[in-house]
Amino acid sequence: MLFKQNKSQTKIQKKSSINQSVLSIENIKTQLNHSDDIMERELHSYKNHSYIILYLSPLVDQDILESKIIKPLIKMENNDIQNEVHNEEIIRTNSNEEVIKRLLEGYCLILEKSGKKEGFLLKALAAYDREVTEPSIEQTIQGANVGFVESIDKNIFLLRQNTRTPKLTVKSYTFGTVTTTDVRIVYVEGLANPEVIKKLEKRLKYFNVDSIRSPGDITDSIEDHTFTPFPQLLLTERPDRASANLKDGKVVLLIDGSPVAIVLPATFMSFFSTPDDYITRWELGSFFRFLRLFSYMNALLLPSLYVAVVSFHYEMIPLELVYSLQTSISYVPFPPVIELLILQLSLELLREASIRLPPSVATTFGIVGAVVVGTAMVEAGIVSFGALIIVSITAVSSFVQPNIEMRSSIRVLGFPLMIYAAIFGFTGIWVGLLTIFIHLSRIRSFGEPYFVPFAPLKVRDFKDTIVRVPSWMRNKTHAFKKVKKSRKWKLDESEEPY
Amino acid sequence: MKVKSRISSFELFFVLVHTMVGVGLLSLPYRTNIAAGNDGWISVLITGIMIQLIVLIIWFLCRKFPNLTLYDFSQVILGKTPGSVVNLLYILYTLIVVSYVFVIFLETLKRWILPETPAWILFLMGGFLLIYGGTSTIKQMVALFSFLFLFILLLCFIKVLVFHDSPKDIRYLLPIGSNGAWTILKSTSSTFVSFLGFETLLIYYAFMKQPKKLSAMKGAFLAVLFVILVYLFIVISSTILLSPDEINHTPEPVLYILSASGMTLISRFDLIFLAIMSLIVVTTIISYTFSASIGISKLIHVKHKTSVILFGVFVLAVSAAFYYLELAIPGQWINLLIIIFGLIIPIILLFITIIFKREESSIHEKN
Repeated sequence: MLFKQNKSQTKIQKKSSINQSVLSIENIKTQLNHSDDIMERELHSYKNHSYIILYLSPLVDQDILESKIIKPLIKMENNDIQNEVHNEEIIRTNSNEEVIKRLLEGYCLILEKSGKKEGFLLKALAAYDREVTEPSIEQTIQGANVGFVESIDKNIFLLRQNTRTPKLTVKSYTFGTVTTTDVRIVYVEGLANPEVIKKLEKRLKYFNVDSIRSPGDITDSIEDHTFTPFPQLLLTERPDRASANLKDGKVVLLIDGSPVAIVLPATFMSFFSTPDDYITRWELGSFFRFLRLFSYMNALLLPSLYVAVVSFHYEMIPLELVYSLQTSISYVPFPPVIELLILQLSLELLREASIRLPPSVATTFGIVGAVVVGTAMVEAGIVSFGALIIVSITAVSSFVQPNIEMRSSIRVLGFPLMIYAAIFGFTGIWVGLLTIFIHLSRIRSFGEPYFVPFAPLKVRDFKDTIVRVPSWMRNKTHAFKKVKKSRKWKLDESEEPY
Repeated sequence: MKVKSRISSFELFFVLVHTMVGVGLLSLPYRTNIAAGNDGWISVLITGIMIQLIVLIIWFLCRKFPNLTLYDFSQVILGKTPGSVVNLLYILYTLIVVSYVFVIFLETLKRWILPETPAWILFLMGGFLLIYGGTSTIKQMVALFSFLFLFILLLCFIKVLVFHDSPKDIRYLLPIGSNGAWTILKSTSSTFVSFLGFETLLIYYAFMKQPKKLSAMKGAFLAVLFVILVYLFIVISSTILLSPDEINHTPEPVLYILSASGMTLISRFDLIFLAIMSLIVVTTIISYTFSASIGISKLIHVKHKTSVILFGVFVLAVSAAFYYLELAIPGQWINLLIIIFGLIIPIILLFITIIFKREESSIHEKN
């Protein structure tokens, strides 16, 4: 294992409660609390040496144990485990602490019975990983059908396969004082911003917990700003997307047991791109980019604009529309904002219910919930059709946003905006919007401005954010230094003018 | 002066444009029309050129003290105590200007959008934005301003759209110069107030990256030029679209023109215009707050955040007093104040600097 060597460098080494006593079977068993899954076997080799093998049976692959450890051990000619037993990793140790740690990682301990106070640790970890499958949330039309899995080694394998360079660097960390979890930082040396790596390492140094329960534990403590609706770390379950980000100079954080990679630093606009944008032709990719941005604003502003127009500024919309809206609204006993809140709430209920239900029922449920209840509500005069249309468009627009966390920011910001609009009309909306703008221009992600091509305004960077220009027209970043020349060939090779 | 980060000439452009374009825009054609009739645009042009010259004078002064704000070099030039007095005066001046903008803006809002809403709610909302925006660093402020610059362009676009659509008569501009040279010259005094904000250069110049070079001023010159062009367009279009009699009776001709025109989907452009305009007005207030709180934090040695809150509270108190006691601050007074604080004091400081050879640069920075 290449990366285990770095472990000695980690700063997170805690003072262990385990005392450095003599290495013996009894000691180890005591420290593992005589748990029932500790297996102990005594072996006699061909040359009549006796050994004791100790391991935690659920963690160890019986096949590996039989064929790669026990068999060679019995057949051993000389008493030389290091050379005669062929295993991917053999560690020679006399420290109790090391033995305990390795046993929990799926190693087995071989002790000579003759009383030498030295044992050998051999790796026999059972791999119960699931197969690499298609990602369930971030689906693409034409992209690769590979998603991250729960095993951190397999994830790094996926990243290395997509990013084939000697500069790819993996740094290994172990967190948790009670239960431990492996965390790895992956980046391409030379492309990634050293400042970002330094910041990340510093923040991880402060991260000191008993145990990591979920990736949220770690993202909460390394994010720049916690009290903001905007996510500053991009979570992806696609290796191709993670490695594309690596090539753009981003840093990827992997946590053992979680099938998502955390990409950082993430700017506002990075949540609006999908891998499909770069696979389809640029016109289509740009259109979808633009559509996503538009739909985000739509989902954020449409309800509050509706409330403001209907309750204060009905002179803004054409007269014919005022009449038809008026006839519908006049039967409704609530003010427009309450109407919208009722509808939004029922929509949230539908959404939550359809996630919990099995897919076969969810479709039927959707039809009943959305169509039947929606129509009935309008006909019963509880809500007006205008409000129903607005909420439906808002919901559809919010589903266009590819990232779940960015989508939730719409909800967090949309409700206050709506209430502002209900109290102050347009003034409320612009006050709310300006607050959001000030906030967006203040927050940063690992030192990089969050709202970047807009604030600070960089028109040149619009090329790969709002629109997706053809790859050879992109700005010269590290990864695309030579790409301009890729269109230097001539369209028409023949010399004749006509 | 110790700063977290410096700004480029390009970024100075955004800061100055946002400080200058503000509440004065809405009533500019009305004021120029009263002062100079149909030759208001000449008056704007002359004022603009004068502002360019004043900006140049400010630059002559500031380049002697690289990376120092007015609040630092006033004490170098005049000595400790007189310098502090000048600083205090500048802070008070900013306080009055911000309160003036605040009150005018609130009155416009109340007249056009929210006639029933109690004023104190609007005061509180404005105060919140002022404090929230003012507590940011210069980089964050520049980021915000550069983004909102897109909205200024949007405003211009709406104006052009409406101008294109409405019935117009170019003969309202003719005959050019009919009001006489003296009237036009005299009218520049009432146009001055629309360019309010150029004097913040005295503070913002300390944030420049290469303060000794003339190229650092490119942003400032372009900012003034941009503002001149926008104002010229506003004044000329208003003169063409409204008859001389009409314009005399409309204190906010810009909004009035917009309210009359509509398109198929949006019937009232003025409401949208005013909503976007509000963003721009608040940036003026934020910029002034930022510059004044630098002075406050130097004067009484408090943190930037504290001084912003202090300034915000004072602005709210002063503007509420003006609003509720119905003390209208006459535009003439503000004009006078601008001339004193934007022109006369810098010139005096410049003379003292040249005669007594005062020069100092920031000890925190090598230039």
